Amino acid sequence: MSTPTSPRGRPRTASVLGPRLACREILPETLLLPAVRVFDPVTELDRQADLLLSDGRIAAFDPSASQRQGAETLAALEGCHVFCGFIDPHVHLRTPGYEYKEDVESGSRAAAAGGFTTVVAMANTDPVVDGGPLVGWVLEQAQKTAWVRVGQVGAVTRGLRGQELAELRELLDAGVVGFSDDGHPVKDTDLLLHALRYLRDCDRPLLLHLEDSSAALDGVMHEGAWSARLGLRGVPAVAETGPLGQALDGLAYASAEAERLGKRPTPMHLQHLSAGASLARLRLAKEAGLPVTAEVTPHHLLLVDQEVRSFDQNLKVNPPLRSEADRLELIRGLAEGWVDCIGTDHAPHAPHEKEVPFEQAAFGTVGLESAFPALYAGLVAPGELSLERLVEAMTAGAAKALRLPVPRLEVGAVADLTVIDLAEEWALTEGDLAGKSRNSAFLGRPMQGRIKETIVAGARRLSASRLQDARAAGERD
Amino acid sequence: MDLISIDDLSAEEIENLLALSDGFLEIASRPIKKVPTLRGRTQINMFFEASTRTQSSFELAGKRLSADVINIKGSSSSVSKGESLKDTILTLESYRPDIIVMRHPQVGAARMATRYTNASVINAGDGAGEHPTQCLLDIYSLRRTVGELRGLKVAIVGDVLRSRVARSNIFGFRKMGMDVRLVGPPTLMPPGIEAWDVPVHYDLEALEDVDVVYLLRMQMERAKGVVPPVPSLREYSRVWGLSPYDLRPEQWVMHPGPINRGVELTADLADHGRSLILQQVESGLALRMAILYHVLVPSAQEEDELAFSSRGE
Repeated sequence: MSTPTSPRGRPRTASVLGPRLACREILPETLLLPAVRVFDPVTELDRQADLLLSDGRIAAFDPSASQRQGAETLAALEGCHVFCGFIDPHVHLRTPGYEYKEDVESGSRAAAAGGFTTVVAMANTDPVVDGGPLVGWVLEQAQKTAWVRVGQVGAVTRGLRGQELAELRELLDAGVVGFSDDGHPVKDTDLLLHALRYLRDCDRPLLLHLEDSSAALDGVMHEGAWSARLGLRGVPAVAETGPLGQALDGLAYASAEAERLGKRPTPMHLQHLSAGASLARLRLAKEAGLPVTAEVTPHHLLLVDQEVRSFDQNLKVNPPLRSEADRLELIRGLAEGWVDCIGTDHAPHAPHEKEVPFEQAAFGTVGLESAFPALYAGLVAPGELSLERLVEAMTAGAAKALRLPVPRLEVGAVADLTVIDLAEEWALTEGDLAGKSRNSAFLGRPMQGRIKETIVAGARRLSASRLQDARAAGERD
Repeated sequence: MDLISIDDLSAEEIENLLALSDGFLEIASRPIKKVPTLRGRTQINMFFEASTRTQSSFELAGKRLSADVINIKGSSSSVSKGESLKDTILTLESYRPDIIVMRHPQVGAARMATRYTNASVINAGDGAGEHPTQCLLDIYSLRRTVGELRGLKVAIVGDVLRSRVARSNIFGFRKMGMDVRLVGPPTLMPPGIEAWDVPVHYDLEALEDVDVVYLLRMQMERAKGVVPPVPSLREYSRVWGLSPYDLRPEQWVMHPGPINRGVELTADLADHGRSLILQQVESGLALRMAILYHVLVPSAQEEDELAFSSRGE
């Protein structure tokens, strides 16, 4: 289809090219995954099959003898579950500027280790990704080095300063997946309305980090019994629910306006919800038909403020680990479908940024490698969440939130797949972390389900990344 | 009568003004460009905001009609000493002027002036409110250029939010049967615009089938202290700035001036053969002569009619 352009080639409509997801090219193989359990909540698929991949696509379930000819049989994967590849709407790849914590190559390696085939990088880098050329540069790095598909968000405001819009149309034309000032709130109502209006009809989401910086100031953990007991300054839940109300009111106002004009409203995606009270507001907004989606992190679904008494700096995250009651509300929201997806908020930090007293430590935990195994062990195995719902949230739910095509496990579909042995129980060690940083809140905690392979466009990415590691290690010896 | 809003005129009255303007346009081509039509009348131009075209054309129009014209400028008048608008009008009213032409940065200033003077007040632009004589001269330019106005497709492009020209032209153009649409970033469309029932488009592809592209000036000077509605002039010109390459050969380009070359239009487009920008200025002089005539002379006719009816009883 030709796109309307002016004679000098300028696109005349927003986002004619759509968001760009980039990764290094690895030639697709012809692979046979014998006796695997193909599982996809979207197509309601759940059965045993011999899965044939060829030319980067799913070629057949239970192929004929002639189809199998020349395929490499991956006998080691027998008995594993095969899902659509996981999608993480929220990671920090720290490129450009903080490559000592993580880069596109190492972060995407962590993603492959966790079964993710697509990750979306935030813009709070140095310099901030608030212009088209920088988006192009990051995606170029991804094209050279990334093991899985990498998308980039653009900043909402110039330099994340929260004062004036960044050049959002330039970012859009450069292929951003969405827009976010993650790490900083868009706290000004006028600015929020400007962003929602300026992006109207572009069908790219505005991703919001909700934080009232006056209420959160200097807080290092959830405000409650444990912050009182430990003597740490707390961040009250209202630091999230306050801006949430403001954001949803702004969304309702701008969406009604768009509707009256016959235009598509800007979709809003709420990042890392942590407070139980946020769920009630989210539910009301969704029932009112607002174009809003939400993510929660594995650590907010599995860990609570009480754990902070260990002063493990890897438990210092923003928003903070909240109370058990909050955690149960988040699980309920995910189970009932009000929460759309899982975002790891994978936030790598170097040892010297964490090995300081708790109050001085940097906020954040890595999360890509442990997301599925931790959630499976913590929620699915004990029966608090169905496998369908978890897989749906990590695939279709994330795709819908990001306005990306919803992946389907069917013949002809692009082979972005995750292969997991659900039976294996294990505990997370530093050796399991595949990125540059080791700051995981889940170290030593129980996991279930081992990611055996991550396949992007029909090529084995997890094995390829490990093979490169082995080679590098060999060279050092 | 006063001319504050384009709504003060019917389509029929506008047609009369266009016909009158043709006559005055002819005068401009004579060696002696002055007629005695408004001899003995007093016209005061009050410009509280910078203007080149509007002020010079109103002054010249009055002089060519033989009116006594004086100019009051905001910067060099007692307004700079803190005199209120009301007191300035009351002071000038002492001269018993026939016409006050007023440009003011505040919306509604011209309407307010009508309360303190018996002169006919002509709004020459009130903040982001209206600019009815600009609308009329644009209509006149189109009449001169394309003739039939009914069904003419016009896209008004750019900073509608802060434009008094848009607030007159949208309604004036439609009054003359033109098909109007708006094009520009959503943040430059005033909230509540859906009530105007004008199609709104966010991208230049909406120009594809129009006959006339009417560009508005980006009014960055009106954005102080608030979130700028577009991120930068660079982004605006990249996405919404018009170049000759964006036009089909039979499309016309208009702009009320002053133009920002390199922002809402490229420098070469301003000098392009399909640009009516300078012809608009020429039309403006004739049209403003017609307006000065129109606001005064009908009142004389009314007096005649009154006299006639009183004789009849």
